[in-house]
Order: sequence, then structure tokens, then C-alpha cells
Amino acid sequence: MNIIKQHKSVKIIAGILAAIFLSAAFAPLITPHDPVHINLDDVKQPPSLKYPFGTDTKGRCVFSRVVYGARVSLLVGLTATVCAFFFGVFLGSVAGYFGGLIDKIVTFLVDITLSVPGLLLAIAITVVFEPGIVTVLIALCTIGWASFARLARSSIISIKEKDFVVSAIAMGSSRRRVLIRHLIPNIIPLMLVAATLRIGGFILGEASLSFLGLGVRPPQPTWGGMISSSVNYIQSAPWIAIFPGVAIAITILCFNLLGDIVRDYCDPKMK
Amino acid sequence: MKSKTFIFIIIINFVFLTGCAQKRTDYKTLYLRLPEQPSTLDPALTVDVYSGGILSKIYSTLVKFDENLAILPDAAEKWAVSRDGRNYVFYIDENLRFSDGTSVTSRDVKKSFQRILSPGSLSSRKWMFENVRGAVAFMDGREKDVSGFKIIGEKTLGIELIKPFAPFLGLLAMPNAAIVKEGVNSLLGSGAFKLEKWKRGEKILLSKNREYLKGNSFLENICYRIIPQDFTALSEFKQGNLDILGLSNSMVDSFKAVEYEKNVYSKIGLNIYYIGFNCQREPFNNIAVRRALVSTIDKERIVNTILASRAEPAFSPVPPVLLDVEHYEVDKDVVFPKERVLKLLINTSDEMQAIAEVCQHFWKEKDVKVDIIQREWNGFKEALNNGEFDMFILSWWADYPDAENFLYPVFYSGNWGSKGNRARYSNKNFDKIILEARSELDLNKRENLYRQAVKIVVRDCPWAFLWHKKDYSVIQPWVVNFKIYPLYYSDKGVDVKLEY
Repeated sequence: MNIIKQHKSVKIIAGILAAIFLSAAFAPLITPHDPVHINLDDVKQPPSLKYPFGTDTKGRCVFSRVVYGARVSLLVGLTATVCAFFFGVFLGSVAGYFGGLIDKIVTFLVDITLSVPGLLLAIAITVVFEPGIVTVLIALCTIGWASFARLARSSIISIKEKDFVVSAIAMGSSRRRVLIRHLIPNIIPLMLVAATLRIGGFILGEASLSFLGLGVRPPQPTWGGMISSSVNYIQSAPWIAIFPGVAIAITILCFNLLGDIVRDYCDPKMK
Repeated sequence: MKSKTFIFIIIINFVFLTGCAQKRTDYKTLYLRLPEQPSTLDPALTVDVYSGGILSKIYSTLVKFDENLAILPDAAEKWAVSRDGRNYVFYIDENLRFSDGTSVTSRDVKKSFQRILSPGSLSSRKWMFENVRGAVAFMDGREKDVSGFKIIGEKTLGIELIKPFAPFLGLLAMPNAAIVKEGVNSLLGSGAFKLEKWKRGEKILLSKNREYLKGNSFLENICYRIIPQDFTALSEFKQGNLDILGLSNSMVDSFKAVEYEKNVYSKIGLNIYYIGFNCQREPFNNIAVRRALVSTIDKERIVNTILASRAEPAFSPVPPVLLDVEHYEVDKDVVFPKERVLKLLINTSDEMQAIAEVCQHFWKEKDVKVDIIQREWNGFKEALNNGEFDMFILSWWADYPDAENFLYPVFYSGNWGSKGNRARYSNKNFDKIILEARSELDLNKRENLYRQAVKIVVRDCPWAFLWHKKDYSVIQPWVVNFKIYPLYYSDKGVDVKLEY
């Protein structure tokens, strides 16, 4: 309860995120139009009662597309985070705890992954595989796991010599048990903070790939793809790019603020 | 206090800089926009429109096209063609000099053409001279010289073809046929300008070639600014930082006002936008299926909405400027493919995506399911050349203004894949007619053969012909004597003047 008192914004953030999740989940109920239905009679209409956010260059309802676009952004953001989290924490912990050759290999892979610009690596992957949501997920996981792995490795190293670990070993625990039951649970709060802060980055990654035309297949709406196809109309029909832009900004802001709150919650000094 | 001073300096800078941008003091430099960095400025290697436009200002070609597509002398003062159409003689301008002051000779022309054909050359335009006697042996490394390029005199060059090829003279106006001289670090040209500076990703600066005497340019410099985003280019133009701007779909609305009426120029481009079907693969090896998909596309509506009326709906592959054809009737029986989801391959351009989405919408109404597969340009081209698609959207732009250029490369059965016939279309009757047309020198007879060829293609539907796109350009009020050319490489940069 303390955390809510300390962060008065927590209710607002939770409210906005809940609204985004619910609208994505119940998109068919709240959208007035089919997001992929083209209507060449209503091209580039400004916001009105019929089309709350206006229509795009093909006469599709921007509001419906923004709401459906949330599905892709959230799905990609959350799935990529979960995959990268598990993969990164697993490899990082194993490397940190066992050391030796495993540690060297994992550190080497992490260094390589982190030294290549993330978006460039993602582009390379989407070029090799056929574009689509799965390819985007693979690309984002490939660039995302390394930072989790590095954090997990250093955290494990810093606690593996501590008394509670030594006593667990003295009690006869196997190395596997020590790692799974004693070490990993200790680093999870820290990793969760990193994960919440990463979600926004992954949503942005998907948007960037879609912006470059390498993301989810058209005509399925995504926020990045919507901005990409309308950025040149920013003067004649600004509503087409502005609404998905605002949606990306709000969502990423909320996830980042949530990350800050989780960090404060996990920090013993703040309690 | 320090931070206040800092903010003050920033504000002063901002005001000063924006003030500069709006005030034009230099009327000797023409500012143009390039949407992307040209891949190369070597005439032998160039294939894209942007570099072609720049090269035409740096290099001379034997002949050139005017704004009405008539052939005019450029490096060659005059020329003669033998009666059988196989022998050409070019008389090179006595006063023409490279930018280092040396005279342009027939040897330079021969060397420039052989540069493209040489066995080590990476040029993809070797086909231009394949019909010249001795070219194939030279390309294979069997001969040291192309015997068909004959040095008749210091300023006289003969070219001998194996078979008569009517559009050959037009090929010599292409930027690839530019006359070059290999300098110390760069290639020298004999055009109105020379390359001064190329700052990658930023600008390409050309300066006046003092050795160029004919139709001397009014400009001292031409500066191509590389501006990828349309909206940036638009605001740069409105601030007066660009003199001429080619308009894309998204920009047209911004220039509809009366104040711009006199400054917007348009012309029908020599191009065709089309959807190609893989004629060798199920279900598109069936003409009735191709016809079904073609019949569902309402191209007039796409032109009027998505393309902001910037195109003419196409009824044949050849732009009407090059060949008048009637609207050939197409058989009525159609079969809609419903067994599987069809793959429509496109590149990542927004325009292609928009066309694909609208066509997908039209087909969906007939229960034809289509998946749009977007690939970045290299992957796209590879998939196209290997035939890994059901359908694709592409455009074809004229290399030279002859109907043959819209028929032979793209429909002849010997040109499957990267040579141009990506739909893998094959019709023996068409092949026979187009080969006959290529060597026919009589214009009327040739056009009749072209019409027969077009009729076959329209009946067989290897493509859905979409539209011929118009080129739009807007100029600043101080730009005088601006001409809009149907071919991207025709503007030699000697017309335009800036007057304040």
C-alpha cells in the first residue's frame, strides 16, 4: 500500500494501461468500423462523429486502426519481453554461477549482440526471413536477450559468495538447487524492473520495423506502420500520423513510469 | 546566469539562421532535391533515374532527346545512316572538349563504349551494344577490340550493327552511352557541368564546365540536396531553399492553390505501373484466372483517389505518347482462384503498399484471398528474378522512347527474369512479331507490328496494366525557361535561368 501512497500517479498509470489493454482485447466491440475496410469514397476525411480520428489515404477509419494496432504493439512488446527475459535470465545466471567456459561463451555472445546496432540486426533478420509478426518477435528477442543476460550474470556473481549461498551448499544442496531455489529468486525483482523498462523499447522496435516496411504484413494495422505510411501527409492530413503517434508515446511513457514504480517497490531503502 | 546566456545565444542563432534560409542571395546556383543517394555516378554502371539525371549534365552523349522526344545532335554534330540500317557514321563536334580542355575524339567515344562491354565490367547495360559487330567476341575476351566501332577519322566514328535495329540511335542518348575520359581520380566529361563535390548523404555539387561552349549554361552551379522525406523537401521548397521540386502523391494537395497554378508543370511520363502474374505457375498459367483478377481492379478509382489524379489509366503496356492503340476487347469468361491464398510480392515503398492494399480489397469482394508480402528492394528483386511469387507490383520506365522498349524486354520469352520478363510470359506468335518489328526500319510497318504485338499481350493478360504516371514539378517564381522532359536523362542543364 505504501507504494500507492508514494506514487500518486500509480492509479493513473494503471488506469491508462488497463484502458489500453481492455480496448485492445475488446477491439471489435468498441471500434465503429472494420480496420482494414477500404472506402475510396471517404479518403482523408478529418475527424468527425462518423470517424472519430478521421480516415487515412485509403478511406480506412483511423480510430479503429489505432485500437486494433494496440493488439499488435502490446502482443509484440509483451511477448518479446517475456521471451528475451527468460532466455537472458537463464543464460546470464548459468554463466554467472558456473563461470569457466560457459561464462566465456555467453559473455562473448552478449558482447557481439550488444556491439551491433539493435535496429540494424533486427533489419538483417527480417530481410532473411519472410516479414510477419513471428519474424518481428524473433528479431526483437535476438537483440533483447543480451542486456538481460548481462544484468543477470553480474547480479548472480555479486551474490554467489554470500553467506546464505554458502550455508545452502553446506547443507548439502546441489548446484542446480542453489541456482534455481536460492540465487535466481534473489535477482528476479531487479530483472522485473529491467523487463518493465524494456517493454517500451520493444514496442518502439516493432514500430521502427513496421515504419521501415519490415514489420507486420499489411493491411493489418500497427502503430509504426500507420505513421510510416502517412508521415508524408503530415501537412495535408495530420490526423493520420498524429493519433498512432500519440498512442505510441502514451503507452511507452506508461510502461517506463511503471518500471520506475516497480524499481522503487523492489528497493529496500524505499520501503 | 550562464544558462540564461546560453539560451539567449541559441535563440539569436535560431532567428538568424531561419532568417538566412528565407532570403535568397545567390541566383547563380540551382537547388534541386534528390530523394535518395544515387548508387553511382559512373555512366557504365548507372541504372537509376537519379544518377541518370545528374550524369546528363556532366557528360555528353552522341545524340540527345528534346522535350518532344525528337533526336537532336549533342556530341555528334551530324550523322548518317546507311540504307540497310546497319551502318552509322557520326561526325563529332569540332569544338567539343572535356573539362580538362582536351578535345573529344572518336577514340574517346570508342573507349567509352568498350568500357561498358569489357569482360571485367560490372555494367548491366551490356545489351545496349550486343548488336554491334564484334561486341560478343570482345565481351568474352576473344577479341581486344570491338570491330563494329570504327575509327574513320579523328572526329568521325562509324558503328556497324549485325542486324538492323530501328531504335538504336535512341540508345546512344542514354546516360550509359556517355563519352568519358579516364582522369587521374575521376572520370571527366564534356557536358555543361562538372562534378565539384559529392558529400555522401548530404549533397552533390556541380560547377560550370568552362570548356563547354554550345548553349552555354546560365548557371554557375547546380546543387542536388539529398532529402529523403517528402515533407522535409516540401517545407524546404516553401522556404525557398529548393528551386524545382518533383511532386509526389502526398505533395500534390499543397500546390492546388491558385498562386501555384502557373508554377506547376506536368507531363505524361514514359512508364507503366503493372501487376505481373507468374504465368508459369498455378493458378496464373490459366488466362481466364489472370483475366478475372484484371477485371476486378477499378483503376480509374485508384487513380482518382490514391494517386490524386496524377496518372492516366493504362489499357496497353505502351504509353499512348509512343503508340496509339485502340482499346482491344478482352474475352469475357473468367475464373476466380479460390483454392489457396495467393502471394502478392511488393517492395517496401508506401505507394506500392497502398496499391497492393486497394487491389487486395477489390479481390476480397470476389472472395479471392491475397497475402501481401513486403520485401526490401534487394530481396524483392531476387524473389522476382527467381520467380518466387504468384503476383507482383512493379513499374517499368523507358530507357529510350520507342514502343519496342515496352514490349521486347518485358514480354519476349528469351528475357525471363532479370532481363525484364518477370511474369515469365511466353507466346511464340508474340516473339515472332516483336523480333520482326525490331529490325523493321519503316516506321509505319513497325508500328503496325507493335500494334499486333500489343493486341496479343492485351488478350493474354500477363500483366494487369494499371496506369501511366504523370510527372509533376513545381518551380519557384524566379525560375525561368523551365522545360519538363519526358525522359529523365534529357535535361542537359542548359535551359534554366534564375531571375530575381
